Amino acid sequence: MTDLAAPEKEAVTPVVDIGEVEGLSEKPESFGRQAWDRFRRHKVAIAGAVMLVLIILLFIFAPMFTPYAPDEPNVLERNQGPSLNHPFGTDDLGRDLMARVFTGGRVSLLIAFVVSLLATTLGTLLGAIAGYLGGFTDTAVSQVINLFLAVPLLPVLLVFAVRFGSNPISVALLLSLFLWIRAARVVRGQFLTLKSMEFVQAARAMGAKPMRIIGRHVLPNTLGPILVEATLLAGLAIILESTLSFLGLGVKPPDTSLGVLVDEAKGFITDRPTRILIPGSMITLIVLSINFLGDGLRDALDPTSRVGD
Amino acid sequence: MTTNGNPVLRVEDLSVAFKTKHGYAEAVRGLSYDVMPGESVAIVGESGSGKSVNALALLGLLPRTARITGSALFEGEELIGMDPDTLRKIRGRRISMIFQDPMTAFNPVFTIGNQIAEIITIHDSSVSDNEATKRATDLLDLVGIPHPERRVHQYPHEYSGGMRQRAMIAMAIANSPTLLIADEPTTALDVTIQAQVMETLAAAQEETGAAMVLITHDLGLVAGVADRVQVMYGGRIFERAETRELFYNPINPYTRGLIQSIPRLNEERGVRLNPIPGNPPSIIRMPKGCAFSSRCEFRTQVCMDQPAELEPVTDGHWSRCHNTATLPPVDDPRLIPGGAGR
Repeated sequence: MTDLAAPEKEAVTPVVDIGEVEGLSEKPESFGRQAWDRFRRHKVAIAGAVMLVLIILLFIFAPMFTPYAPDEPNVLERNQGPSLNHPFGTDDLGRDLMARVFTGGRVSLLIAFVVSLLATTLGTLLGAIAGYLGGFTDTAVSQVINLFLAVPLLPVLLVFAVRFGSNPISVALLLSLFLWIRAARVVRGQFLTLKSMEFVQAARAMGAKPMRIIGRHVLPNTLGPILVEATLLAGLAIILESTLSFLGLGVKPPDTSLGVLVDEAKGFITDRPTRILIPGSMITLIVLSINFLGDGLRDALDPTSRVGD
Repeated sequence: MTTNGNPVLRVEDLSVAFKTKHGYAEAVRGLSYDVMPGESVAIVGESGSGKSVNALALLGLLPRTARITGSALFEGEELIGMDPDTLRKIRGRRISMIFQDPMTAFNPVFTIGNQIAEIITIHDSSVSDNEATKRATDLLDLVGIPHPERRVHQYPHEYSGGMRQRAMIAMAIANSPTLLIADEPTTALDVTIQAQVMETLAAAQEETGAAMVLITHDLGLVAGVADRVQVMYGGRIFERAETRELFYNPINPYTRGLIQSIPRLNEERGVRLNPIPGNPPSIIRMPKGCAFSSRCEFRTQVCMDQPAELEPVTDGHWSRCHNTATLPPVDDPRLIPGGAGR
């Protein structure tokens, strides 16, 4: 009996009992696992995620392998269409458009990432404070949000861009300054709803401290919406960056971005439509992928939805 | 229940008012009662009678706009006006609350076990997470959750309503409190599940030896569980008696009305229910006299002029009525629970 002979099997194997009926899988699944299962079923979101990862990898690593530098002019090969040598063609200075799209894309993605991170963090912080504390703080933050909502975004961005724009980081900071309100609105609303939920009341009744209630009971429940908002903000940042750059007020040469490329191409729309189509569709592709991803996350991160629902 | 020893909870002249545009809304008006160790006291009343507000006031869970006066001694300590941090340490450890809606009373992003373990570790940081989860499993077992060792790792949405309420009970007794406050613990559940959950609640109370304040609007629910019943109306206690006594010999016209309006299975078909006419008074504009006077079939002039006092009628049986002496005897067979329906 002391050796390693076959371990004792479970003495009783229960026949079907009530406990087996409802939602009792063999091994309980973690929330992350369930979210992943839901996400996996969202075909469009998967497509978006895959596309986005491919694009990011491409932008990060491809410039190391392209034979041309993005800012290397070549007077002999100006304004060419796509060819084997230059798959995306060249611009009016003979620079390789593929190399420029990749480097410009990097900048656009960098801006998207910074804006998403910054605006979401700032918005979450202020939205959470306003929503949880309520009262005067909430009124103050809400009025600031309303103020921001009342300004016509593009003209004001333009004015600010004239003063502060021109390099990618300043464009990112500028966009964050105007986009945090979106995250703040979402988070404030979530906090308002959640703080009156019974489980928050229950946590108080169980003797939890306020910081614990926020950190453990409210914030995790807003994580889904926050992530979704962060994703959508990234997409929006790319669009706005392109718009500003197209108007000559965002990223400025020699720095480049997808918006700058579109801007540079605008004089050649009839002669070389590929010059505007390639960076333009790249913008669309990125933003579309991001939005698909956001859509999938929205469904996957809702803790109350079930696999198969 | 014996009445020797000190009460776990002694509420004295507790009043709660909320400031509104139209003046103060007095939800609880001069409430006094005792709860003895291990005893179950039911507080029964309609919506707006102040029964839940009373509980939230004790635990300091009302919004800051509430004006609370009076006294509530819990094991000799004054709860009203207690420093929030001290009160927080009492909540969930020495006084636990069971909430009405088990569907929303759990945080959807954490497992049930996680949440039961949390209440243990909040109050005793020396307990390891593993140990706490093990205790959570035992507690789930205690309240009759099948396969507790697996269920403990499941999320609230994987539980049925009845199971969630059981888990809620497990959570409430996790730290062996001396007082349980159950606020409409079965209102959100199917009638078929209600009885089971009440049994679980009674068993859990027995297990921990805790006293219980059971807040409900369902008189039928208290019959099997409570030792004493207090009927609340308009923020005040209208009748207080031992459970049996209250059902067999209701004195107050309001209590009689309540009991008469309970439908019975053993009644002849076609007999109409006998509801209390009218609505409870607005707590913003309470009548000058007895709060129930406008709906009372026995009212006299004095009822409309001045409020009645809660007075002892027989030993341990109190009623708030001007006309106790002149009320007709209880001869309605409907007033006898399970009695012949003729």
